[in-house]
Amino acid sequence: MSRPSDLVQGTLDMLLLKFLALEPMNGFAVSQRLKQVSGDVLQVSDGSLYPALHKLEQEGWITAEWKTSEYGRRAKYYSLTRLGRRQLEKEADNWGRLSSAISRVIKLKEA
Amino acid sequence: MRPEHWLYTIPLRLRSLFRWAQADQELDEELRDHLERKIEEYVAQGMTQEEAHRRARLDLGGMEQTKEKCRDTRRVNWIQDFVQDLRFGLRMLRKSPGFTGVAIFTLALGIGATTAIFSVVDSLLLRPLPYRNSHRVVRIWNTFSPRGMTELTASEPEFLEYRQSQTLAHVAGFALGSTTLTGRGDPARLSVSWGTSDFLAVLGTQPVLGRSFSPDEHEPGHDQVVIISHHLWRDRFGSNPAIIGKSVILNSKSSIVIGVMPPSFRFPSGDVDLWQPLPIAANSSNLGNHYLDLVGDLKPEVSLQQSNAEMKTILARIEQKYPAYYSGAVGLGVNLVPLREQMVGNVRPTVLVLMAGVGFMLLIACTNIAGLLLTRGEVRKKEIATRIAIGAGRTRIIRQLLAENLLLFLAGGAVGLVLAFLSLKLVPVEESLPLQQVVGPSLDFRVLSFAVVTFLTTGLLFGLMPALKTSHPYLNEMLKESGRDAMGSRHHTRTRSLLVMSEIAFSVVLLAGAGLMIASLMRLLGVQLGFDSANIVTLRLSLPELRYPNGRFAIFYKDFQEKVRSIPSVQAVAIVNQLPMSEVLANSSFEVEGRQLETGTNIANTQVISPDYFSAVRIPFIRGRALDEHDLNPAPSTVVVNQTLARKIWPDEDAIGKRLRLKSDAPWLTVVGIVGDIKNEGSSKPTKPELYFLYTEQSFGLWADLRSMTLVVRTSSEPQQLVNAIRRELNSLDPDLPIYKVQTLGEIVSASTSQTRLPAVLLSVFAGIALLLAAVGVYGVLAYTVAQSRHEIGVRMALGAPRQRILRSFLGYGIKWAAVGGGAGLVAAFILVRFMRSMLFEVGPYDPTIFLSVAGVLGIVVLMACYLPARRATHVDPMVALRYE
Repeated sequence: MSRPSDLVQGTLDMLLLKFLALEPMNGFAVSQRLKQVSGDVLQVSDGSLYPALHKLEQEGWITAEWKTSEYGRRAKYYSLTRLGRRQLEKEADNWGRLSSAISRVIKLKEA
Repeated sequence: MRPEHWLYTIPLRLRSLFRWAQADQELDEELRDHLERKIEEYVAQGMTQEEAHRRARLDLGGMEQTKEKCRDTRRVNWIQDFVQDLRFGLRMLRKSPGFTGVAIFTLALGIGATTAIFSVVDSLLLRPLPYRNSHRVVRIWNTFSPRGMTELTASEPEFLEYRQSQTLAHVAGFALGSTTLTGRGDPARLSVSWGTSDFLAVLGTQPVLGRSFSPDEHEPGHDQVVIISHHLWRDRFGSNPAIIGKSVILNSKSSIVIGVMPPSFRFPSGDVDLWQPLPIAANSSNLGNHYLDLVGDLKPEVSLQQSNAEMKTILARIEQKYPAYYSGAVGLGVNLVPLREQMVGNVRPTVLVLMAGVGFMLLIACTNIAGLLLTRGEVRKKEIATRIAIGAGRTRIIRQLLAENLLLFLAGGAVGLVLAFLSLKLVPVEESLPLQQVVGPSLDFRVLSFAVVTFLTTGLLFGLMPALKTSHPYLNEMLKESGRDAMGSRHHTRTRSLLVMSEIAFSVVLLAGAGLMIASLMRLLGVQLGFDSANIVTLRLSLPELRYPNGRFAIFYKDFQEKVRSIPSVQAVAIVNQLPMSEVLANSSFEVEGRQLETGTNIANTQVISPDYFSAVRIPFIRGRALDEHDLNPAPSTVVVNQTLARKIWPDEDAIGKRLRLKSDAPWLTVVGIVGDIKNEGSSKPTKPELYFLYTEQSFGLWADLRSMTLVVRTSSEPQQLVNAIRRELNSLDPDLPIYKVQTLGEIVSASTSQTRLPAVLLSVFAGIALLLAAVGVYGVLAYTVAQSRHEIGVRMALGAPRQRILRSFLGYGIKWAAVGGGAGLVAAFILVRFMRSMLFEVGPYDPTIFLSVAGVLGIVVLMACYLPARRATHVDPMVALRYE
């Protein structure tokens, strides 16, 4: 259960970067957002989410900061770094090319 | 990666490394916060508090596992883990000091001995010689195949021609000798190397202090200059740089010190004290005196074969140039030998066999440790299973066990280095190995690296295997068991049996090698030498020509012997020009009256002696009488021959009364006595024909330096005391004469067997340790098996199995191990011992007695090691064993 089997390898990273590009948020919020946005299509367990976030942090793509949230609760907020923005552009670019290439293939008419 | 990336990541890594506790604290808080929110959410959806709690945790997939995964994303995690593992390992090792002590000591023996032998291998075979051109330097030898002579020195005219070589950058001749240093403290006998003009250029070495010889210093009459060795400079001249330009008195003549060689310069040998020029006239035609050792360096792009071919054409040219001299010598050749080959060629098999032997011992030590670690893993299986159950991954467990095992090997390596250092200090390897010519063994950077690589590879190999076995997943099942898991332990027993059998096999190889060497040594020591070396002190004297011109030195030796004879404890005194078994004896051709001898049979070793020599060293007379001073008229008119010569030249006649001479222009000498054969050239060499001449100044055709003689004294007193007394007597005759090479004849005889003794002793030590370790291994595994089978034994006994049967079934293990391991070892030994052929003396490498004894010794030791645990099995009380359940 630990591996997001239906996610293309590396796609989770891109999604996380994208969410954090929109606004800084904490891990819980990221997990909520994942569910909201993708419905049940993208199932990422909490057990995979945190290691993924920590990996992005260690790569220097996101940075974390402890903040007090709206309800007076301390939480770890992640935000995108300059490096992370560049990485997101690169991955989004790759993704665009990959998905359009795949859809072109899929749309080929059978003879 | 890009530098910008590092800018971000390096602080992160450092933080994870050094603020580890804080990072972990934050990780904990983060996940806790997540859980709380999740629970709140589930509760809001209408779950009970308990249900929400459970679901939230399930989503997270196990708090500890997730934490561990997050930690793994920190790239430096392994460093922390490693440090942690080491700390834990240390704790575990401290908890069982007995196990730790045995393991460390075993490894220390293995690694220490291996390191010590490697340092010898390194200095003899691997390390470049300390000369700029070392790999291109060759020795140049004349050869004479009809008599099987491969290392003949050259004459001056030969040297002058060889020097014309186009394939060698330089060719130099040198000769070794000794000289007396006086005027600075006690007179000292120093070893000198006289070299022709290119001597230092061949090796490419310059003095560290002062200068090299200039070309004109190789002109006759300008050669009173000397370069001194570093050790002489240090010991005799207090390392004072002001020595350059000062004069010293050598053989009563003054010479100017112009340089000091570096300490690493050990050519032709490390005990050379001085180098002096050897002037050779460009038109020398002295064909008869072959006194020059030749050395040269190949030009960079020239191969050994090319140069060899060229030297042959040069030799042919020499033979054409002096047809009268060379016409009789059909079969003369020339051969180039690389310098290292020259120095260590004959000991290479010994050194490599020792290295292999010590390698086997290390393997056994490591195998033993692997077995111990496996057993220990068995004991700790509950601990490990528990750790796997609460979230440790298998790799993590392996890493931890490996770190612990590596700690053992590290400690073993460290103690081993100390052992290696001590053994290099204590074991007299110099006596049997030519370490004088190379940079001697020491624990330097190269050897330390070897030790580190050894401990790391053995540690990884032999530490990883038990770690893999111990962390095997079936351990999970074990928690459910009572701790006595039949499947698992059987699996382990098989591995351990394999380990034990390989230990037995390795020790068989070592035992066979040691057995062969010991048998050789016994035969060598059992050889009848033909003389009595006990209670004989020898020492050497050299009379400088300036103060002892012709007509003076024989009288001196006569007086000196009289003085020594007057010392109370002295029983007999004699002089001889060359001692038995100490160096290459001079030989000479001779003619027999009234017969023409074939080439090759007319050669005999020659020794010049005083009349009492035979009685002093107790060489028996077969027939006839000793030489006598009355035989001098004033040249000698008599000679004594040995049995071999008498038999060879006069097989059917009485040799006594026959006449022989050394040259056609020398006087005839009558054979007056036949003495017993002695092992004059060493225990392992056959006795050659020998001629003994009476010591005198009168020439009778023998070329010998009669100013340098060895005094042989049979005494009842302790050697050092006697030497002091002799020195006092000598001072009363001439206070400026040094005595040197003070040895007992026993020491000389024993040194002549050291080439066999060193490998015999070392291999026996290795084999003994190996056998002990193998026995311990056998004992350990069987004891463990017995302990594991208590329940089974109990059942069998309860069902009526007799004790004998139980005993036999456990001894059966031992017999199986000994048979399989021993068999494999014998096969391996059979393959390997042929590499020892050149080291053996009168023993074939496949000597059946030795192989049988090895098998016997091994069988006995293995059975003895098995007997104790097997007997313990028969003392199992069925009631206790069954209740143990």
